[in-house]
Amino acid sequence: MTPKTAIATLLASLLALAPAALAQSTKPAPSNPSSSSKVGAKPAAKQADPPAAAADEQEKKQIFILPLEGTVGIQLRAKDMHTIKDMANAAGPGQIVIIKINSNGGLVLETPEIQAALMGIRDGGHRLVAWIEKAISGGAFTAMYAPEIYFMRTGSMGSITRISGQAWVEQGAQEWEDAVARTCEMGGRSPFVGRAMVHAEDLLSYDVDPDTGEVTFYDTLEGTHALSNAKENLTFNASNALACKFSSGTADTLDDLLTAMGVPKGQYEVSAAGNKVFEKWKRTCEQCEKEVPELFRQYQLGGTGTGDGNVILNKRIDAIKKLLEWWKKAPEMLRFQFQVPPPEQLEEQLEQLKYQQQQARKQRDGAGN
Amino acid sequence: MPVMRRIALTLAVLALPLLAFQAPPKKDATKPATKPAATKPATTKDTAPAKPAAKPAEAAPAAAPAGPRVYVAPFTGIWGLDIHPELCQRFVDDIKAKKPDLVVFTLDSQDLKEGFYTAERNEDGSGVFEDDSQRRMLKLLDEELRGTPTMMWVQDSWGYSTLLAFAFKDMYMKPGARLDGLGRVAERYSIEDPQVLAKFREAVVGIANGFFEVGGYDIMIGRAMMRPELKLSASWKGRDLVWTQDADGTWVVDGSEKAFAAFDADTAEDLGLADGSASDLGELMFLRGFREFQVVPSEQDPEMGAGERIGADWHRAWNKAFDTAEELWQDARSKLQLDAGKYTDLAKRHYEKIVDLLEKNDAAYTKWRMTRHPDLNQLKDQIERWKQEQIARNKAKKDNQGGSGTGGGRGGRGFGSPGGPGGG
Repeated sequence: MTPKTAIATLLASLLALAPAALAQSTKPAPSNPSSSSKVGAKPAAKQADPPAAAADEQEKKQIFILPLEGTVGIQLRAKDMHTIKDMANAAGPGQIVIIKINSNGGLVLETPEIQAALMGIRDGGHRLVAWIEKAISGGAFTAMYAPEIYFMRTGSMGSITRISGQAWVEQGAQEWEDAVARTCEMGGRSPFVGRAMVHAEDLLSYDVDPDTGEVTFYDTLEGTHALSNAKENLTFNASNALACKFSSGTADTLDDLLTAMGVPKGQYEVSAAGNKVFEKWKRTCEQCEKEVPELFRQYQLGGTGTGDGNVILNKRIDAIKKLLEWWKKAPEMLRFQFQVPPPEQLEEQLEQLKYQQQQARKQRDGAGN
Repeated sequence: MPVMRRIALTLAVLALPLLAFQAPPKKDATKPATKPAATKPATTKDTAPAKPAAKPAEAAPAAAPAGPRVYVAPFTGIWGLDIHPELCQRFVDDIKAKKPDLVVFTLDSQDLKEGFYTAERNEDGSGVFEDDSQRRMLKLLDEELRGTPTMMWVQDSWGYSTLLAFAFKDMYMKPGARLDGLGRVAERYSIEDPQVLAKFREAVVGIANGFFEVGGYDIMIGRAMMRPELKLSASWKGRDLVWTQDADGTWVVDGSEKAFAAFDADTAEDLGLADGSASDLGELMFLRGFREFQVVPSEQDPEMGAGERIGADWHRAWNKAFDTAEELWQDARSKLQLDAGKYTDLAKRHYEKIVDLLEKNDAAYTKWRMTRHPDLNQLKDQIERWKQEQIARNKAKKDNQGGSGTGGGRGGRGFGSPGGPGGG
């Protein structure tokens, strides 16, 4: 499959998934950031109906914080989002899930699964919040699913143009823009914002109603505040995202964030689960980055100095077996980061090497007789 | 200078000596009041940022320390190498341990220097922009030092380092200092395709503008400093300065569509970006309202400021790591050219030392990569080839056969790894 056809196929699957997910998501966003949301005023609505025993320490709801860092589809995985979704669901509806994003983007092919996981969190009756350190391209796309977005002061979010290498992917460009616009709407935002993040020619400006504070976005430059002209691609910083209410607030630390979110003290406790999930995968990726080049080296050079074909074969067999183990532990890293041949191909090679080893053994035994 | 500002400045200067004694560190509300006093405080002895104030504290050891304890942390040299998150961590750890009353970060970093005829690239190297680690450096300075008053004193900044200056709300300049060189950000979005150009440009400018957000500066300023086609001007609206991305304001900073906006010390002060200009630390402290102060000294070397010592140690350590690696590299190359067979073992040992040095020192490894050396994986590949050759030779010797063994043929001095670049 060529990269273009792969993207087209994945795009098609994403487009197919979008309406269904939208339909499933019956729970509206806590408030529409593009209208008249007030920072810190939203959250109480969801926690307003605790059971009678809510005061009990054991009944406290959880705040799951899942750091999402690195390349979308490699280090930043939908799988981890699914894990947190399952944990939140197990704790019952009304949990808070914060995805803390620091990513330059990545692979389009991960987006259907990201959508399924994040919309699954919302459908489970949980409060989904994106906390932006850096959300560029696929990172921004991921954040769009959250009805509430908060920025760190250093935060930036946008630039969702689909590229391959350093070239714009023209095929399916409009479909991609439509998909981003729909995702924007799924988060309760104006689709114009998403479009301006995808293609330069899409304009964006807004007005703020002086009485209600309500924000109206335009896909023209007729608004008082211009955000993106015909040569620009929208990328927000903390201040302009807040000014147009795209973001619900700005917070650098978790304490600041919870305050900005209006999380009532004593009713929630911060769970370490999300961080554990993140750290575990991060360690795996780091270990993989260290070991896989060593295995390449072993495969290429291991035992060659001995001049003993059997030693060389053993080294190669061992390297392939370990690569196959890595395929199970970190398939994303092997496929995209290192471009290691697929497991089937490695299995085939392993069989060939084993066969050669057998033959060599037979020859040696024959020679011995 | 407008007449009203001149009057305000004169009044402020006259008022300063009366109001300044032992005032708590505080940003002045009015910019003109931050102008330096005509007479310098008695404690100021020289122009080096970290040195002068150690003296007053020593002069009266028996008496109670006079004035606030000031920790001076110098960021000097190449951005991303000399000015590095690891140095930042060392400063922060030391500041937390020593608990000063005020921290003065100084910034002296140029990718471009005034040469004999014209501006030229700094021969020591150019800054490296690695946004994740540098943003974390910023978070470290901001979050770890919450509760400790901090300020930035720009000696001179041309290049990515200018981002750090704008990350401080309280910024002072040295006369003649620049806030310039953010046009280097444009190197990161130099792409032909207009869609990709827009994507990359807005992404990298947005990321870099995060530094301006932390300092509370309008991101229009950052944009104009990073995008040549954007203009920048400012107008006063009452006491507030309003920035616009055009040349229609009262004060045009950049009216060109081909130049990057930049500021010298005077302009930065006039437009309220900087709180004032100071030639030396004494003058800076005077502007902050302190006639007396003491620089927190280094424990190992009380003649030096604590931060100055940490900075000097850091520069020495990473440069030594790089220089040693470079010497080993050059020695290995020249010996291999002389007699590859004879010196292979020596070259292998050199390469192993290089790998060890570079794995332990990120700044040295960054410079190593900037200066067109093979990366760590390529070095390790070569070490493994030599190792196999050595095994082959030993085996041959043992078998009493001579020759090169079976595996040695793959060796040589080239580089390459599966999927990796070739060439050395």
